[in-house]
Amino acid sequence: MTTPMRIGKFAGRAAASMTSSPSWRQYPLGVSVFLIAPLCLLLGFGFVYPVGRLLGQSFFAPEFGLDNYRRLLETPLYLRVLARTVFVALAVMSASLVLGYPVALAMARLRRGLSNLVMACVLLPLWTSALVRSYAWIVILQRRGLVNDVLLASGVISQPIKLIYTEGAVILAMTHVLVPFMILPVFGAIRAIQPELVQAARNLGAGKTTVFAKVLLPLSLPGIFAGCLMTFILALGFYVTPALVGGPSSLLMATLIGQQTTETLDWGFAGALSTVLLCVTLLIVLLFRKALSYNRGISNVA
Amino acid sequence: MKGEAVTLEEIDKSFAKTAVVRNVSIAVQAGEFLSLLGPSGSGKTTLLMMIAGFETPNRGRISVGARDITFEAPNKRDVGMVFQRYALFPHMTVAQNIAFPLRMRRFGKAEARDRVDAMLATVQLEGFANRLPQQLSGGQQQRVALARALVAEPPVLLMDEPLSALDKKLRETLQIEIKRIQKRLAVTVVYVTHDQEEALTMSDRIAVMAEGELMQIGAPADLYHRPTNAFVAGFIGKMNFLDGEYLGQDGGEAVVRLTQTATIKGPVSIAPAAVGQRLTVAIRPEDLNVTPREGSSSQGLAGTVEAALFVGAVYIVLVAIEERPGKVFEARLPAAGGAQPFVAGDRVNITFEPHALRVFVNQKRQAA
Repeated sequence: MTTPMRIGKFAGRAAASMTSSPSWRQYPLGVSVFLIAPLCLLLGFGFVYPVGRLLGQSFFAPEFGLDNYRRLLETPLYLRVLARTVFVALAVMSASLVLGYPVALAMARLRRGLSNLVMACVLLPLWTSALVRSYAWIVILQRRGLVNDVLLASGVISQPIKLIYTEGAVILAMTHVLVPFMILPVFGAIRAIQPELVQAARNLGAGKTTVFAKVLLPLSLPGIFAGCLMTFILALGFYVTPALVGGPSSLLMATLIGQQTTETLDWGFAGALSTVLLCVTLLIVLLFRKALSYNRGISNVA
Repeated sequence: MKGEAVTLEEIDKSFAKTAVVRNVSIAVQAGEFLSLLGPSGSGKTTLLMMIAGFETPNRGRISVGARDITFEAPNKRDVGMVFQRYALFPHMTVAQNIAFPLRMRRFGKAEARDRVDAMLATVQLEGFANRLPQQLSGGQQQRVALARALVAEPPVLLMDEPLSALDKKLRETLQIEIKRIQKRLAVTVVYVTHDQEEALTMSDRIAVMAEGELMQIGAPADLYHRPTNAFVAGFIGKMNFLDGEYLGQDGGEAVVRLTQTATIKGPVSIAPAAVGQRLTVAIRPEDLNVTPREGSSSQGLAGTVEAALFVGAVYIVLVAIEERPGKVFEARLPAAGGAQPFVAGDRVNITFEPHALRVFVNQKRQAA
């Protein structure tokens, strides 16, 4: 399979020709700076500076050195939390893909009116606070919650089972929150596929399953990559949902960092945890980009 | 490969109660190049989609050879198709695109490669096997699409305005090339186009469609010289139209009044049944004679030259008919000698041989 390589090379060439577009298409430097300055200032003061301080503190608090990192690497608990965080993020990403892809496919193939309706249903949860949605899961999964009540009443179980404050609950609730971030890019990718390509494949002898496997799936890969990257990275740093529906046994990095800053007030160690999480995230983004660069037109999402 | 006949019998198709194809029957012969010609909305593309299997007729029967394919799945029809926008798979190379129908039919690797190479040679794209579609020009992409549609040797090839996205020069080159390949492979072609010149140059027969109905079917020269209705007369080639009134017979000839002062006589065969019937008279620009008019001598139609345009082999002379304000006739005169025959403002007479006239009664449609 040398095809992806070729696509990658081609995408690179197309991008190069785009950046060398005639100057009348570009704003003068002064105007460009003016347009992006407010955001740059906000990011500078509100993001780069505090994050930089936090990361810096990991080397200087309580005293200069790598003590914070040594502590992190030498304590199995923290490494377990890191591994669990990556695992949960992968699980959420996979679940989002499995649940989201069929929805995106259906949306792209529906009539316009119905498609808009489904789109609204997908977007609706995004307009609701993650806090509310997480509490909703508590209502459903708690000891005397909806699921347990139904199972007890129907006689499937005789004792309430533990659903809430488990890793499963965290993955379930986070998937619920993040699945739109999978559906939207996949929908966009499938929508961009020329309908004639499907007709052409059918005309050339492909059945419906083959059309999916040979045409729709490969051509929606850019959307899949984008969706996976977004859900994975969002899941890595997710705070609210795991803090609410997760228990001590399903502690994740974000929650751990939260504890260090608000409860133990160990800013140096919180900084070290943040640095590690940031590095892991960046590493994974780079890996994704590497994979992405083999596919055309998507390097801009990562 | 041998072409097979395509038979359309009494096809009806409507979308949401709007009839787009009405009672169309066409018998395409094996190995024939048949064009479906018509303006947009004439139902020609819908007809093609029904042969390909992407639409199902509400009534009627479609068969290829002896096979009834009316309700057959598109992938079981063995009917090749070339799309307007090429529809090449962007994630596959040229060779992979062309090999696609062979893979679907489970050809062996070696034979598939041989066939792909042969097809690449046929469309003159040797050396492009490993390119991606985006790296080719429009004309090259359409040749790949043609190769892909033909590689599995279907008995029938459908083409949906395949050249309309290309520029004029390339279009003409590809018209000749498509014709050459079609003759060599003896495949039956159903070719959809709205370009009458393209249809005239390429087709063995043309089926002219308008508003979902088949207006006339015949060889290009037939449609040009013997149109059976005003729509075809106006759609194929350039035609001058004038309203007239049938006055009756006189000495074995039919008399038609064109204007207050001008009447013409013609063979009785052109005459409608009722005296007083309104009709449309049509005449080709090359059948008109234009002569200078001196004083009040008037024969034929009196007119004033609006413009005389030199276009190479002929002069096109636009003449405003004096008794029909707003009506302008186009005449094509041989440009022999090179001298400008008329200038704007010249007063002229337009005359013609009666047998060059075509008369249509009660036509509801008429192309420009």
